[in-house]
Amino acid sequence: MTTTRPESPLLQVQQLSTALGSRGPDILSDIELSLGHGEVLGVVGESGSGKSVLALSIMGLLPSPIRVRQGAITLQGKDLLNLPATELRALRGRDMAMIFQEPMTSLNPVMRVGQQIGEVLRWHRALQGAAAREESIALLRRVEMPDPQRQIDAYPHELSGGMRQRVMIAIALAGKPQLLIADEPTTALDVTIQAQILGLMRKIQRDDKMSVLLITHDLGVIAEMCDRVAVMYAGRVVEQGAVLDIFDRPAHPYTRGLLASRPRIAAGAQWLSTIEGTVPGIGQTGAGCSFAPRCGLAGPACHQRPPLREVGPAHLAACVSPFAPSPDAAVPTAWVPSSP
Amino acid sequence: MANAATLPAPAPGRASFARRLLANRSFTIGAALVGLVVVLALLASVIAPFDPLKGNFRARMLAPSWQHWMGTDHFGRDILSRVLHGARISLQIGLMVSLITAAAGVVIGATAGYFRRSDGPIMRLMDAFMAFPSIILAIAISSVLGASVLNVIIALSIAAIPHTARIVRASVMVVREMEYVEAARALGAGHARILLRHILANAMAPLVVRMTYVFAVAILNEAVLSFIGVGPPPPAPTFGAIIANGRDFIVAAPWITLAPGFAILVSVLGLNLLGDGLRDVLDPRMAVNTR
Repeated sequence: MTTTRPESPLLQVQQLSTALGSRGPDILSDIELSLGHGEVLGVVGESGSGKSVLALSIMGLLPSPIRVRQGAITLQGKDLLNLPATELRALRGRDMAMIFQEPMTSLNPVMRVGQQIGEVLRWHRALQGAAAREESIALLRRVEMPDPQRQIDAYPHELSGGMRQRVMIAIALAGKPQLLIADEPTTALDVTIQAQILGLMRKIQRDDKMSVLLITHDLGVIAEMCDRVAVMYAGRVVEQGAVLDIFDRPAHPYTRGLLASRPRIAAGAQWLSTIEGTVPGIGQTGAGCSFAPRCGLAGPACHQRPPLREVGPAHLAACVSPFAPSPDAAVPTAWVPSSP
Repeated sequence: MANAATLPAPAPGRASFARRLLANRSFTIGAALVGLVVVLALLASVIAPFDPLKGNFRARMLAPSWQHWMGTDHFGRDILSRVLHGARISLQIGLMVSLITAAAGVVIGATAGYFRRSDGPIMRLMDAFMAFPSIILAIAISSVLGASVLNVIIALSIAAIPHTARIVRASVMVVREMEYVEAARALGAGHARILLRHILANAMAPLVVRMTYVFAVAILNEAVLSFIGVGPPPPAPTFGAIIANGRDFIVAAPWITLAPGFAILVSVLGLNLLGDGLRDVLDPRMAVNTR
């Protein structure tokens, strides 16, 4: 129903809805995504837009009250939602791996770095002993860890945040996954380290032709890393397309609002434009477009939910009036002092 | 300050842990006391001056002297020898009880803490056990099973398991929510692996402290059971049995009671100090300033 592709995508998410409990409100509704081989797809949105729930749905790690209500997730033709638990477990770490946001807490404090990489090597590549150690050192070298021969025996508390994130990446790469899901991989790091880690991820992605689903709220990270972007709002994908299209010709008013809300040094002192209001909570979206209450362009047509439809080549948006000239987000509410 | 790059790598975990333990006064005093009791107990058959079971009717109820450092009882048995041999049995009971309690507490507590469905039934059962005062439970079990060292161990273990399971469960529930546990799951770790390597390995600290306490309480409770006559059968010398023997002569020959009482004091005090020190080092947030 969407664009036809020459080859079937690596990951396909169709009509995915997850809900809080069996009768509770939806957290994600009707998510449609596809990720090709060697492609980097950015998922961007505010806190609470459902980005992390999407990642956990794909990994099959939804925390217990949240469950998938409908839809399908296929990875390399395998239907992840109907896979037996043991098979799904075998896929995790081998076909898909995940990097978490907080490098300070995502490593087991009582295991050495080498042991944690070694676990994955043993499970998924049957490497043990000296071979596993050698491969672990090679992986640490790949993630540009300084002095890998020594750091392989380090405990996580002896490493800095950036080094821990490198270790996390090494662990994620250990199973040679096709799909890497990175949930805000650089949010907890300071800016210079962020740039290093992003550069490293980009390099590894290109070298391995790995597919990456990159979740972030940082448009700068999207611009730097991604081929395509999906913009999420209140549990829905509201716009999807190539990075350049999204940045140059944003179709959905929410995307335009997001892009306008970035502080720009070059602009000097000015009012930072914002999007009025807040993201609706779970179960607080009505029948219409969930962005309508905050949208300056909302009209009577917005009382019905707009479907995601093509607004350009491989460019989808869920809006009744895409590209409509924005009345530029009404009242400015935040003052950004000029930077010297 | 030296350039950070030229400094040697910090010694991984263990060395600094040992150093912190040795710097903790409570731990070192406790360890010294416990060590003393353990060494004396191990060497009992070598250093005890007399046979702990053999009476001497010409030397009954003798006050402490150079020959009998802690005096003799009404059968003329040397109290020091009995206390030394008694320490063996008492420590044996304490050690076995704390090991059995820890093993069972880990299995029960980890199951309840990790598998949410099992939590309710398991912990309600533990609550039922905890509703009895543990010493009464131990007396009941011990009198049903009959008097022997093994039965005392079983009775005291059963009495101590519920609380230990609860501690392990609480600790597991905290660690279960850690991000590294989810990360391990995302890498394909199974339940057993996650539970053993990622959760239990990080949830051990409270259990270690709890074990020293269970050890100490087992020594005390063994004395209670022996005192009221449901402990290991006579003539086996245990701290409680010696005290029970001396009860009838507490005015005429107080040393019979005082010597094992002092031995209990030293063992239990040592274990409690050891536990306090361990707790302070393992969990710095709980530290009471005792330096």
